[in-house]
Amino acid sequence: MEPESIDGIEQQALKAVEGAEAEQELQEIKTEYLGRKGKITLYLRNIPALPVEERPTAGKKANLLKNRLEKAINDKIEAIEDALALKPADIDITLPGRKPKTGTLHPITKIQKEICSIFFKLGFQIAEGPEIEADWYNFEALNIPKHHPARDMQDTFYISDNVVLRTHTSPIQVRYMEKNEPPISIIAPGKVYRCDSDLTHTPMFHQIEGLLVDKNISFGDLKGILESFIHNLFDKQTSLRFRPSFFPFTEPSAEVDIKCVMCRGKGCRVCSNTGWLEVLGSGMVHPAVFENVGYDTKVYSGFAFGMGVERLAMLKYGIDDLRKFYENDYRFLEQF
Amino acid sequence: MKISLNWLKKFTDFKSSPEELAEALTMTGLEVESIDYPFDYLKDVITGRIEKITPHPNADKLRICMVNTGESENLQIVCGAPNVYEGMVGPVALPGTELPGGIKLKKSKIRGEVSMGMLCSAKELAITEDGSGIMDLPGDTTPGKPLTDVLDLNSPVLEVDLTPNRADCLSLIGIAREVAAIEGTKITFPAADKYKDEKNSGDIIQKASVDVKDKTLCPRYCARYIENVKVAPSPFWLQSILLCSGVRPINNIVDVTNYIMLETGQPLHAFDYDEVKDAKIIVKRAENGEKFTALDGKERELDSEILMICDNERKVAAAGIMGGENSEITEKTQTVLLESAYFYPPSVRRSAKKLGLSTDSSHRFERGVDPSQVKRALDRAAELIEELGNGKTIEGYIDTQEKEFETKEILFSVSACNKRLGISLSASESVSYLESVGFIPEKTDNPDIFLTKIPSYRVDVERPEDLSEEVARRYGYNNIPTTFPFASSFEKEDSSDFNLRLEIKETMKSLGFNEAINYSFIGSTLLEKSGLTGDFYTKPVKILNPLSEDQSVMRTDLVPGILENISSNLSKQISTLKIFETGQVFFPDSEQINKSVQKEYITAAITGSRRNSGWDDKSPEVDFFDIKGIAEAFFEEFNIKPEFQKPEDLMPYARNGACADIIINDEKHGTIFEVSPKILKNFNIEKKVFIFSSPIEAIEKNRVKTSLSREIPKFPAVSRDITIITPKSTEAGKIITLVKNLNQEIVENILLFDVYQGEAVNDNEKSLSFRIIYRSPKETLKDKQVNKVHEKITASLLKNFEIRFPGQD
Repeated sequence: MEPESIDGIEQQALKAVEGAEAEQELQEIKTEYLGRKGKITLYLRNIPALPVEERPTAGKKANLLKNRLEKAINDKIEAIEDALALKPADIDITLPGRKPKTGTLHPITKIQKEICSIFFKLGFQIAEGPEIEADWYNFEALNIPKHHPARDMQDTFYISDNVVLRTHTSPIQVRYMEKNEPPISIIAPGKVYRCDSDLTHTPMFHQIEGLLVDKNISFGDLKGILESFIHNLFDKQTSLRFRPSFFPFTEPSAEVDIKCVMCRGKGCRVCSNTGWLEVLGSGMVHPAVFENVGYDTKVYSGFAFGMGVERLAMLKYGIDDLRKFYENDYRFLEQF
Repeated sequence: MKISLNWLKKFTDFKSSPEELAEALTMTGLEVESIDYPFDYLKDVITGRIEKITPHPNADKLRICMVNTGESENLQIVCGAPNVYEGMVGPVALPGTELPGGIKLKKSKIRGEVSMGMLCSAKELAITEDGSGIMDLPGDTTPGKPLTDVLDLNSPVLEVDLTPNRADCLSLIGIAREVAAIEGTKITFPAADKYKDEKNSGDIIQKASVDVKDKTLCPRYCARYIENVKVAPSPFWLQSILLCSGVRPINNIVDVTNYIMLETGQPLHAFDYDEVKDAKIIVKRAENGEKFTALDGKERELDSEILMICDNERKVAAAGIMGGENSEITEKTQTVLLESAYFYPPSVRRSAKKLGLSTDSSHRFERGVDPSQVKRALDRAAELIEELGNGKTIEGYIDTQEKEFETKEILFSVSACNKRLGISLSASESVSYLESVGFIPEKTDNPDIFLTKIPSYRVDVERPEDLSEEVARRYGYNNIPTTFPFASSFEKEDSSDFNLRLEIKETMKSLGFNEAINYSFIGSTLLEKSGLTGDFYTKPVKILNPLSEDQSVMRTDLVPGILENISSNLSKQISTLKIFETGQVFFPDSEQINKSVQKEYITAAITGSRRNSGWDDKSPEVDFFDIKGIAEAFFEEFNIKPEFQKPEDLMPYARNGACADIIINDEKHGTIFEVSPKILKNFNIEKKVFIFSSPIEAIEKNRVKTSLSREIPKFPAVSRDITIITPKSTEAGKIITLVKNLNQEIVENILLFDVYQGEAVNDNEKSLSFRIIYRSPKETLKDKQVNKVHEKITASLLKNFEIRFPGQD
C-alpha cells in the first residue's frame, strides 16, 4: 500500500481529535496514529525508503506532527476531564451518611477527667485508695472517734466492726500522708458508699478529695485554689461563698457555695430559690490528723477539700435525676 | 433545732428581719434551713365568746350557741361539745376556713338549725391531741382576734441545721448568744436565784437519796423534791412555746422539763416519787440480758455498758435517754423527783444506738451538755413548777459532783491565727472577736499570746486552731483575702491507676463502646441468674447492714451487672449494644485490707448489629470473632499481642466451645466468650451476647509504653495465595503458627482471607485460603527466591497437617 502523505495524515488526525467527544475515543486516536503500528510511527519507520533528499524534511515534518498531535490529544483529554469535573453528580445528598459509631464515657468519668485535669494544671497529683477501708483510715485517723456524734454525718456500711465501705475519699489523704513527706498536693477521686437511698441519695456515689500541705499554707490559699477550680470548671462569673461549718478533720471548716449556675443567682428550682449551690466541703487540716500521720504541726499547715462528683455532673450537664447515673439506660449513656 | 423568734426576742433584742437573721446565722456557721410559720394555716380562725346557750330543738346532744366574734351581731353556731358554757371563749372557724385534714367549712344547717361556723377543739385545729372539748381560752380574751395572736402561735420559726460540734446551740440561750454577737446586743438570762441560799443536802435528804455507782459515766447527778403537785395541762403560753419548737405538750410537769431543756440545753427528767422504791436513786450499769420498758412502751434488752437509773428494786430510766414506764408522771402523781445530770457523752451515744432510741435528751447528752449548768437548770425547772402553782419544792438539793469541772484554757497566738487564716488582724481585733462569743482572753507577758478561758458550754473548743475558726467566723470567711499557695516543688510520682483507667476507657470509647457504672454491691438473685452458685460460688465480702438483699454483697465479677444492663436495655427496644464498665471486684481477705482483695476489671459486651445498618447496607449480627477482634484491637492499643486458647475452666456463664482464655506472655489475663443460652434465658435476653473481660493489671504488667517506630519497607512485597482443603477440625491458628515458626526471613506475614464450607468440598472438610506476604529488607525479591520458600512452606503443611489442594482428591 502506498504510504499516505504526511499532510494527509495531519489533516485526518487533527480532524479526528477535534471531533472526539470522550477520552476513550482520543485514546483510540492515539493508538491509530502514534501507537506501535500507528500511521505516524509507520511513516517514520518508512523514511529510510524515501529518496535521500526528501528524508530530512519528511523526518522533521513527521516528528513535528507527532509532537503536535500528542499535545492536541492531551489538551483535548484535559478539556474533556475539566468539563466532566464541572458537571453536577447525580446523587441525592440528603440520603443519610454512613456514620461510624464512636462510644461515650459515662458522665461521671467525663467530669472526673475534667476536674482532675484542672487540678493537674494547678500542680496536683492523683492518688487513690481502697474502697473497703479500715475504720482507722476512714474515721479515727481523721479525728472521728468511735461513739462520736460526727459519725452520724455519714451512714456507714459495715463489713465488720473495724472494716467499712469508705464513706468518703478522705482516707486517701491519710494513706498518702503516711507514705509521703510534705510538700504534697494531691487530688483523690473515687467511689464512696453510704447507707442511704432516696430521691437525692444513692448508696454508692463519687467524690473527689483534695489535699495540699506545705509550710505557710493559709485559709486564703484554700480560697484561691477553690476559686480557680470553680472558675475553670464553670466560668469566671461563678462567684463563691465560704460558710463556717464542721468537719472533724479540718479546722476552721467551710462549706463552699457557688452562685447558682442555672439561674445566675436569681433563684430557681435547682438552688431551691436561694441563688446558691452547696458544692464543696473544705477547711484547714486539723492538727490531730497531722499528729496521726506524724507531721510536725508547728512546721506544716495545709488544707483539704472534697466534692460530690454527681452533683457537679448534674449541674454541668443539666441532669435532673441522680438515679439516672446508675440505671445505665443506653439512651442516657449515649448522650455524653 | 427549731427556734421561735418570738421566744428568742425575750432573751436578746434584735432588729433584723427573720430573713436577715437567717442569712447572718448561716454565714456564721449555724445553717438556717428554712423560715417557717408552722401555724399559718390557722390564720382565719378567730376567738369568740359564747354569750348564750340554748338547747337544740331536734337533738339532745347538740346545743345552739350565740357567739360574739367582735361583730355587731352574734353568730349562731351549733355545737356538740360537752364543755361549753356561757361566757366561755374559744376558737371559731368561720365559713371558708380550711381545717387541717382538708375540710372546708361552709355555712350549713345541722338538724334544721343554721350554723354559721364551728367552735373547735385543739385536736380539730391540729394544735394538740386534746379532742375532749372546745379549747377553753382565758375568759378575758377579746373576741374577734386571730387565734394565733392570742396563743402566740404566730412566731416565725427558724429551722437550724446544727453541725455536731455546736452542742451549745441546742438551746435557746446558745442561739441567743450567737444572735447577740451578730447584732451587738446583750442577752437577758432568766433569773434562777430563788434557791440561791440553799445548800447541798437540806430537807431533801430525809425524802430521797442518790447513789452513783459509776462516776465515770455519771460525774454529776442533781435532784430536787417537789410535793403536792397537780398534774394538768400547761398554760397556753408554755404550750405554744413547745409547739413552735416542735415539742408536743403533755402535762405541766413534763412540759416544764422540756421547756427548760429547750431554753438551757440541759435535759431533765421527772420521776413520780411514789414509784421510786424506797426513795432511792441508784445510778449503775445494767447487767447483760436485763430488760427495760421505756416510756414508749417497748421492752428492750440491756447490756453491761448501758448506764441505768434504778430505784431500790427496778430500773426507772435509761440514763440520759428515756425514762421508764414504771415511774412516769401521770395524772395521779402527787410528788415529783426531778433529775438533772451530766452523763459521759460517748456512753450515752453507745447506749442510745444499742437501744435504737434517739431522743431530744440523748441527742444533747451525746454532744455534751454544759456541766456547769446542771444545777442551774434544775433550779429553773423547780422554780417554774412552783411558779405555775403546781407544787412546793422542799428545801435543799442533792448534787453528787465531787469536784468542779475544770475550765479549759488555751494559749491563743494572734500571729499564728493570722497566719493560718491569711489575714492580719491586730491583737485587739482578734480578742474582741473572741470575747463577742463568750471567750475570755487574758494578756500574758508576750503581747502576741493570750491565755484564753473557754466557757464551759463550748465543749467543742480544745485547741488554738478551734479559736482561729471562732475569729474567722466573726471576721467573716468571705472577708479573708483570696491568695494562691506558693508551690514549692510538688513533683511526686503518680502511682495511681487513674490515668491507666482513663486510657482504657478512652480506648473502649474509640472502639464504639458506651461506658456504664453499676453499684459495687449485688445480691444473691443476680449471682444465681449468672450461674455463680454451687462450685462457681466465690465467697463474697458481705455487708453487715445492707439496704436490701439485692445490695448485700460486694461483687466478685463485673459480668452479672453488665448482663443486667443488657437485659434492661433490650427490654426498652434498644437492640444493638456495645457497653463496658471498669471497676473493682472484691474478695474477702480476713487478714488484710489492701489492694490484693480489690481487683479492677474491664468488662465489655456486645449484642445486635456489627455496625449501623445503612440504607444500602444491612449489617450482620455480631459473632464470636467480633468480640475477639475487639479484644485484639484493645490490647493492640497498649502494644500487647495476646494469644487465645481453649479455656482451662469454663465459667458458668460462658457457652462451651465459644470461649477462649486471653494469654499474654504465657499468663492468663481474662476471657472472651459467648454468653451461654441458659444464662441468657435467666436474664430474658433473646439475642446472642459476647463478652470480653480482663483485669487491668494485664495491661499494667505487659504494656510496652513507648514502642519504637519501625522502618518503612524500601522494597516491594510479593504475595502468594495458597488454598488448602482440610478436615473441619483443623485449627487455622495452628497453620498460621506453623508458618510463622518456620522462621523464614523473607516471610513478612501470613493472613487468612477466606474460610469456605459447602458444596465444593466434602461434608467434613473446609477450605482455607491464606495469603503469604514475602519481602526482603535488602532487595527486590525475585520469583525464584519466593518460589523456593513457598514450596518449603507447602511441603511443611503437607507433612504436618491432613490437607489436600483443590483439584486433588
